[in-house]
Amino acid sequence: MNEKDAKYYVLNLAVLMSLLSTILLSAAYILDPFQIFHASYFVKDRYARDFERFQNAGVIAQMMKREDCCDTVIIGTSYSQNFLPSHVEKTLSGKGILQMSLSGSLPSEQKILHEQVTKSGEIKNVIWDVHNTYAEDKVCAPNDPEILQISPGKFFPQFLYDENRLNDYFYLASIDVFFRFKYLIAHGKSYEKYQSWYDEARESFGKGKELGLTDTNFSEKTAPATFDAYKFPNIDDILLPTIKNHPDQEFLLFLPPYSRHFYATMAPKEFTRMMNMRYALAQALKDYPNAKIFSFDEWSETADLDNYKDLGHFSADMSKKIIQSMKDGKDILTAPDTKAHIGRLTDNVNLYIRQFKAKQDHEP
Amino acid sequence: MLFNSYEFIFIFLPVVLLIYWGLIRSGKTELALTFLVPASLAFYTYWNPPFVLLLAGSILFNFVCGQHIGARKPDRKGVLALAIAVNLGLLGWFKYALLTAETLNTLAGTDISPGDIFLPLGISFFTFHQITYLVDIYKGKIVPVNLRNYALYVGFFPQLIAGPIVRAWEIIPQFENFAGREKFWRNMALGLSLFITGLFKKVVIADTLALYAMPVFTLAHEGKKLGFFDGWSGALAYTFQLYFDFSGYSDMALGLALMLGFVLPVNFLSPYKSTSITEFWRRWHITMSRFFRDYLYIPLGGNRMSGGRQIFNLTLTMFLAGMWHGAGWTFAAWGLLHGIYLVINHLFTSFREKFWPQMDTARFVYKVPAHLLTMLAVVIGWVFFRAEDFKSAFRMLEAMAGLNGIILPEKLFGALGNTGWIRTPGTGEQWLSTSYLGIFWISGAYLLCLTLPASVEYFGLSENKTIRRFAMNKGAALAIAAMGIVALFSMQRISEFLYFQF
Repeated sequence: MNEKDAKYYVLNLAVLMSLLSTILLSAAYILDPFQIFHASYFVKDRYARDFERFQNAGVIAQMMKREDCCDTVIIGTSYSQNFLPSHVEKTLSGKGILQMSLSGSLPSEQKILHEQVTKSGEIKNVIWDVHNTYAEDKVCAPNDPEILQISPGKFFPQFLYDENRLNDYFYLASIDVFFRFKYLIAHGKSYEKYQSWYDEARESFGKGKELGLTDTNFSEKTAPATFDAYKFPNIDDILLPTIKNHPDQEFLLFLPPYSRHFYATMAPKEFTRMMNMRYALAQALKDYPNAKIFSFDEWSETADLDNYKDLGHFSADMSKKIIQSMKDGKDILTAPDTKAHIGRLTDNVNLYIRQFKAKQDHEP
Repeated sequence: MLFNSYEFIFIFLPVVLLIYWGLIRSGKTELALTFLVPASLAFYTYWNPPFVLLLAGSILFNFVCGQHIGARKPDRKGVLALAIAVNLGLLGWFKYALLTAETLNTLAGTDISPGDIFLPLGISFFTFHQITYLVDIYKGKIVPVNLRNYALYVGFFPQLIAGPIVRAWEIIPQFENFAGREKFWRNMALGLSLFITGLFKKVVIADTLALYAMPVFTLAHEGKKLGFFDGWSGALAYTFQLYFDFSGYSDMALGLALMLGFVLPVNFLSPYKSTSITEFWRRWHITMSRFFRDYLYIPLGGNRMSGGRQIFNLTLTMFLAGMWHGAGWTFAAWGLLHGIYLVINHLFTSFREKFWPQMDTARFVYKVPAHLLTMLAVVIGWVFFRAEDFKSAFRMLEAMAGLNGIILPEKLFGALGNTGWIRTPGTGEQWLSTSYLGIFWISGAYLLCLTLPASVEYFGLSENKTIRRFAMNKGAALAIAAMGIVALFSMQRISEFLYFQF
């Protein structure tokens, strides 16, 4: 092995690596499966839900280029993913809907998405699902290591959502771009449906009935006596400043209508904390005329697990009914009514528990 | 800074190589070597700046102790004892204070809290480097060196955070008589190729296998019942993940050192080809094994003691080796288990030599079951090594033993029929839908381990005349370039949900 051979080897290696990386980067740019840089050259109206944290950046990039887009954005979690853009647009008379819900999204991620779409200057309505993450006692930044360890798919590519357009090219330097393109061809869905999980989960509806009495927390709940023992940093530091900083936008916040069984199996401490969160939120919103909070816990559908995929995720029909309620201005949770609302919710949950147990006792 | 990061590969390394070789080419070799000290500290600082003071302070303290011991003063034994105590004390505080407090709180009902303690990166490695240096001076094997060379020995960035555990006599003479310039292109070619191979092993193979191991151990930790295949796929995926990860990192370290003109000791030699646990430990994390052998097992009496004492020495050494790997009793259990394996291995060897001396252990019929038994023992050990706690480890072993039955997906189950033992997942049970691809990765990794030579053998850093060695031609350049590109393009993954959960 002489020095001359070694020198040529190193030069060959350098040239080949440069060449190969140029070819791959160019191919990745042309394919661009999430449409970060350009609309797809190969497939029309195909989007990838399983990679939604990447995909949404591309949706924003492409939708913003359209002249007729968009005055309404849906921000939230899997609880708002079944809001179909066409239905929301028709019902709320919106002018283009940006569906930005992300499975298991953190409030910090939701804030980033909201900031990004707001840059268009055209957003007038914001539908925002206030999932129980808002009851937690800390703000989790995107890509929290503990979360990523369990769910690597929740990696949030912040570089695609920041001001720096140059670092977006990092996304191309991944072998996965090619696999994702293949995925898009095989499993991509139209913009209307790409977020919605309802069709795939249809068979799971009603299975929650198998759960229940074996849960150690399945016992009657007590409405909290006081409402000042907790802090909710996700509301104070994320949600309220967002509402405050955008007085030109109307915020239609909603508490997802979990099943009564969901509350029934909740640990008493957790139940108290969650009730405190909705009380704190309703009180805080008094100061913001551009925000309303909706609650649907009194719907009869919440007592029937056939309407649920599990204990919390509700049907497409219920999703449509939520949007209709927003249109009609019904089911608004007002600050003065919050304590009474929590009392009614607790009574409903306890009645559900008693009926559920009685039914179980009568079954052979 | 990690070797498999963009900032290391595209900024730190090119800048260091340019300045370093620029200085050497202009005849300033000593300055170039001195430059590696601040470069190494900068490498360390990037992770957590305040801890560089700990590293620098530790280097200075041990340097002074080394000078004192080397001066053959009468109190040198006391100074050695003090220095070892300080080194182990620091390691103990940063690594084991939390575990000690938790254990005391559990056993004695106390409420001790040492507060938030962050483990300084590489402390286990730089502590051992410094202890070997001091002990070797005390024993007269080496003489104290100047501060620059000592700081470089401890802080040399290729070995700083994950080894190999280098002995002073292996590397310091290379600093004192630098000979890297004569073979610059050869070293650069080998170093680059080895670094790329290591990067590929780490980011392509190990990180992919992690996707199959991690969820299984997480489910076990969450108390979920796992099926037979899930238990095995998780344990095997971790078995190969750990090997490709750690040996990949070692390859990168050796490659980096070569690019700078130095040779570090070999750390892995195809351990999963072993046909006994003794052989496994001659091939796995070699520099750690020899540290424990030379600085603990032999001083305790080693093989020279009676049978009972020898068993005790071996078990104790492996127990402490287990604790060195991590602050958790599962690590201790892993070490203890290997201690027991080694004892059984030694007893079996004595038994075989006494009662069956003519047995040909090189024969296929002996080697295959011996290899499978060794792998079984190793895999069981890794379950303890990886599991969050004992409950999770036993949940994994329970699944692997088939105690939860064999859970199959519904389609396959339908084809086989209901046998009672083979069944579909029930409530709270899992069949990992990703396992089909996982099986490909796991069996592929095993095949690579069995059929390919160790990368250090292939690149000629370890002698093996039975293999076809690396040749610097266009074909090799294309293969390594392709591996390098795949590795670079795999450093950033677009992961999907392995387990779709809301």
